[in-house]
Amino acid sequence: MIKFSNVQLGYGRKPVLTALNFDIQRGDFFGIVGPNGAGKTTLLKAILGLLKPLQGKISFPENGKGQKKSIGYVPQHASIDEIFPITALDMVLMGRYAKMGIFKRPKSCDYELAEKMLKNVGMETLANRNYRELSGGQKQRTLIARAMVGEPNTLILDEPVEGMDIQGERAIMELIKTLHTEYALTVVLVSHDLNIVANYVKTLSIIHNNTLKLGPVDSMLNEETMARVYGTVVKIVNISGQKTIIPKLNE
Amino acid sequence: MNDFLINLEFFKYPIACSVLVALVCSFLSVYIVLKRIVFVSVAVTQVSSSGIAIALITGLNPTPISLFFTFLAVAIFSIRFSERKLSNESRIGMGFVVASAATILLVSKSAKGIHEIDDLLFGNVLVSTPYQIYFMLGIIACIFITHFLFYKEFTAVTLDFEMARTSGIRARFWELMLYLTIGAAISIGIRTSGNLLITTFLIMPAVNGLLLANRMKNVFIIAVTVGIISALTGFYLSYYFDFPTSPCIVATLFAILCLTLPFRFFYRKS
Repeated sequence: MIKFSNVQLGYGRKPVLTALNFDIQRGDFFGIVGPNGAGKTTLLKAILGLLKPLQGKISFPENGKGQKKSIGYVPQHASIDEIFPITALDMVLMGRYAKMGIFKRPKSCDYELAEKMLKNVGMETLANRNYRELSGGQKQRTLIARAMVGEPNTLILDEPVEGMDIQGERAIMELIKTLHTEYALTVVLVSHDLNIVANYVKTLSIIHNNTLKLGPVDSMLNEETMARVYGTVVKIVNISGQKTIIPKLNE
Repeated sequence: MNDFLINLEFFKYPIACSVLVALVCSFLSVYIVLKRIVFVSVAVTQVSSSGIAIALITGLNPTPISLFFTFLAVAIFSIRFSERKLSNESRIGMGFVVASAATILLVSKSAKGIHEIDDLLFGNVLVSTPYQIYFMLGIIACIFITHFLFYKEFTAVTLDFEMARTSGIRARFWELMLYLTIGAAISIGIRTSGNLLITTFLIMPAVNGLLLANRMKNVFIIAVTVGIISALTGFYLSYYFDFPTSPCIVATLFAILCLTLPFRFFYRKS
């Protein structure tokens, strides 16, 4: 569980998000959406511990005193520098480094776990391929495997389907859903793509006017809220059990 | 060649010095190029030169003074400020030009004047002493031991700083350690090899390695091999044609890089 107690986030002295009081429950599939510049990345950085709150406290109560938080982070695949000459397997193995401890080299059990994770994300045949030679979807799968190899209890993903085609988007989201179920993971996902988030998350949080509102996806996802948050009229339709958000033109 | 071999006894310390600088700087160049901190290394090298300039006009031992200034620069440049108002690039650029100006101002009041600027820029490998070689050997051994022990930490902060931090690696600490090893390598070589050669060794061998290899280990091997071969060939050419040593080594490195490009093209095609 991740607990926000009266948290204020921002840069320098300027607050970006204020009065954040909410919990991300264990085993939840938690989506964070909001317009550009609303503070999605700021919130993500705070959860990851990369940004200290200006006020309040973010805690991980289940971890116990002195125990490190167990987070697997999947950045946007475009953020990884392709100049690095590294195989998919070595990339995944990097996710084990913190667990190995100082002075230690990867052992056969670390390699086995990395190979298993690559298999779980459907990348076993590409283990020895250079990371930079992989497609966008394959890179994203490799980064998911890297996050999973650290055996986290929370998986945090930043725009996991950014720049992918429809098939790639669906494949990655189905993979995340499978991992969420199989490993009983808490998943926190940031995305600007409402159609993706609407169909996979259980809890939806919307960042608007410097604060965050959250609830079950069905109650949060309504035309009135979306119009207010995004400043445009939208229609939410259900096609074959799939929620689709369509902006209305000329309105 | 015979003439050179006869005089080898006279050149043994300068050659050893060039090879040691090539070895350590070429190895570290892989991290510098991969982490895209070439400009940081250029600025730190310039600050290190300022330290030497201060030592020259005060008559103090140059190496500790240079080490002090280099570590100070490394500590400042490794701080990650918010880039909302001032980019890190501008900060490092300012450090470079201020250090360059300070070096020129300092040596302009020295008795030797322009010759000392020459020394700072191109170094004077012929002044290497056995003491310097042993000192360099000690520092280089420390650098390589550190990199052997903490390879995974250094690669993690080089590839993905945020992932390293979130996974529990003390990323800021290891990044500072990486920068300190680079600073130490610069400091020990700057007096003998000069600003130009150190900067070149901190960039070009890795570029060669990255053009030819697809694995980290091979990139390191190629970078170090190219660095050492260039140092030896450049030294010989400078003796043979009576040219200054550092520019000869730089020219050799560039020639090898030019040969790498067609080689890579045909290798890829095949």
